[in-house]
Amino acid sequence: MTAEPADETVRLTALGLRRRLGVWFAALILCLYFGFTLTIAFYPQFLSIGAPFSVGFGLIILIMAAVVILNAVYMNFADENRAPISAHPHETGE
Amino acid sequence: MSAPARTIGPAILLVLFSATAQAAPAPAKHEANGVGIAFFILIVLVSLGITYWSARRTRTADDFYRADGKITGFQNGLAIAGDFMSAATLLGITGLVYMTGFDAIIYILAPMIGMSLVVFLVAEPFRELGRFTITDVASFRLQERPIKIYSAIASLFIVILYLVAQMVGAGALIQLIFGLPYMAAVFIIGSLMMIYVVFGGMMATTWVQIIKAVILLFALTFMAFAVLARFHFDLGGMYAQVAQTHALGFGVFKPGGLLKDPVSAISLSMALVFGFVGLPHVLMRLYTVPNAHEARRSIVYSAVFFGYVSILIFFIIGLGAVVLLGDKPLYRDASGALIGGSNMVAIHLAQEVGGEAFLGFISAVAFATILAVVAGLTIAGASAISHDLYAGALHRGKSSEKAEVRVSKISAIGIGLVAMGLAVLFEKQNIAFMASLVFAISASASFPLLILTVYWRRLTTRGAVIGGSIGLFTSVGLIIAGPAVWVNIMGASQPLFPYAYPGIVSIPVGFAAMILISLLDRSADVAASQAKFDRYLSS
Repeated sequence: MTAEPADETVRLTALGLRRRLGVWFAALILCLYFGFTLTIAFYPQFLSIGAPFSVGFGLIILIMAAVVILNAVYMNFADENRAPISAHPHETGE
Repeated sequence: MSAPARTIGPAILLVLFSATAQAAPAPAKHEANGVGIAFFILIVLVSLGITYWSARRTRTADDFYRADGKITGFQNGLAIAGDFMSAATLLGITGLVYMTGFDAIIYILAPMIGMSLVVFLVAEPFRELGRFTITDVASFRLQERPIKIYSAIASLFIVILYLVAQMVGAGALIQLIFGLPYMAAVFIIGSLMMIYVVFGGMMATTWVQIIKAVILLFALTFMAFAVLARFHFDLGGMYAQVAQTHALGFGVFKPGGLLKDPVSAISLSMALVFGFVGLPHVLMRLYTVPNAHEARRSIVYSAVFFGYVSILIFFIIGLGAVVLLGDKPLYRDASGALIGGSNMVAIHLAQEVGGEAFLGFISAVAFATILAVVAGLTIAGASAISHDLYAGALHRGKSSEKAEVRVSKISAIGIGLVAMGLAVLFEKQNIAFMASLVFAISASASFPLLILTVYWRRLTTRGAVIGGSIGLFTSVGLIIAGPAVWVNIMGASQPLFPYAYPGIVSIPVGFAAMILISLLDRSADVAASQAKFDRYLSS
C-alpha cells in the first residue's frame, strides 16, 4: 500500500496544509485559553459571571464556541484535503 | 452556607478523579432508596448483557483492543466524552461550582482545549500510523524496544494512579450513596470492571461508556431544566439569589475562590490541558473508529457533548444548588455542614428537584459513571502490558495475536486486583498527590514525546527515553516535594517546592531534556529516525 510517486506530491501537499492549519488553530486556541487563565491570575477584577451577559460569561462562551467552530472548520478542511498521511506501517510490513 | 478551605482540596481532587470522599469531613451515609437499588441492579444487568454480546464478537486482537474499528465517530465521541463526564464531572465539578463559583471554569475549559489539541495535532498521525496503543507511533519511528518499554511504564504509571484514585473515591461514594461497606463497594466495582474487559474487551468497554454518557446527558438536562423551572426560567433572578445566599456573596461570580496565586492557576491549566493529550485511555479510543476522518469527528462530538454538560453544570446546576439547598435541615448534619461534603451537592439537588425517584436515578448514574471510567482505564493498562511490553518489547512483534490477547486478559485481571488492593490500602490515606501526579506525568512525560515524535525530525530514541524519564521524575519529585505530600502526608511544616501543581516547571523540563539530549545524540539512530520521519510524517 505504499503511495505511488505521482501521488506522493499530492499527499505531502495535503498533509502539509492540514498540518499547518492544525498548528495554527492549536496556537490560537491555546492563546485564547491561556489568555483567559492569565486574566484570572493577574486581572481577576475584569472577570465575573454575575449576570447572564457579563465579561466573564461572554469570554467563557466565546472560548467554548471557538473550540467547536475551529474544530468544525478544521474537520471540514481536512476532509476536503483528505489524501492519507501514508499507508499503515503495519500494513506495509515495515 | 459556608465555604471552609478544608473542603476545597477534596473537591478539587474529586473534580479530577472522584477520589476524595475519604478525605472529606466524615461522610454521613445516604439512605439507599428502592429506585436507586432498582437502577443499580438494572445497570449491572444491562452492562453484563453488553459484555456477553461483545464477548461473542471478540475473537481477534483487533476486536479486543479496538472493537475492530467498528465504532462510529458519533458513538466514539460519546465514549470519549463519557471518559470525562465521570463522577468527577457529575459530583466533583458540581460541588466545586457550589463551593467556589467562578474558578471551577478552569476544570471545565481545560478538557475542551485538550480535545482540540488532539484533533489539531495528533489525531490523524496517531490514527494513521498507530495500531492499538499510543506508543505505536513513537516506537515505529524510533527504536521499538526502548520506546515501548519507556512508554508502557509511563502509561502504566498514569493508569494505575488514575485507577487507584478512582477506586478509592468510588468506594467512598458508593458507601455514601448506597450505604454499602467500603470493601464491598471496591469489590463490586473491581469485579465488574474486570469482567467487562476480560470478556468484552474494547467493544464492551466502549458500549458501557456510550450508554452511560447518554443516560448522563439526559439526567443532567432534566436536572438543569428542573432547577431553572424553580426560578421561573429567570437566570438573572437566580444569580441575584445566589449572591444573596452564598458565603462569598457576589465574590462567587469572580475569580479567586479556589486559585489563590497566579502560578498555581497557570500551572494547573498547563497540566490539565497538556495532560489530557497524553492520557492513554483517551487516545486509545482513536483506534476504535474506521479512519482518521471518524477519529477527528469523534473528538469534535466529544467536545460538543462535554461542553454542553459543562454549561449546564457551571451556569445552572452548581449555582442553582446554592439557593435550592440553602440551609435546609434535610441536607445538613448536626453541625450544620452539608451531609457528605460538597461532593454530594448533585445528589442532594436531585432529591430537591426530583424527589426520591430522581435521587435514586442520579445515584445509579453516578455508579455507572465510575464503572465505565475504570473499565476504560483497565483496558488501556492491559494493552500497555500485552501489546507494548509483551508483544513489542519482549517478542519484538513476533508473538501470536492469540497469545497477546491472552496476556492482555491476564493483565486486566492483574491490574484489577492491584487496583482493588491499593484502594483498600489507601482507604484512610490522603491520596491528593495522586490527582496531581496523573496529569503531571501525562503532561511532562507523554505529551512531549507524542508532540516531538510527530513534529520534530531531529528527535532520537535516546532523547525520547532519557528526556522523557527526566520529565517523569521531575513531575513525581516536585509533587513529593510540594505541599500535597511533603506537608500533608510527611508532616513537614514547609514544602520544599511551594506549589501543588508542578506543570509549570516539569512540562518545560520534559521538552527541554528531550530536545537537548536528542541534539547531543550522535548515534546511528539519528539517521534512521529522520528517514522514517521524512517517509511518513514530513510535509
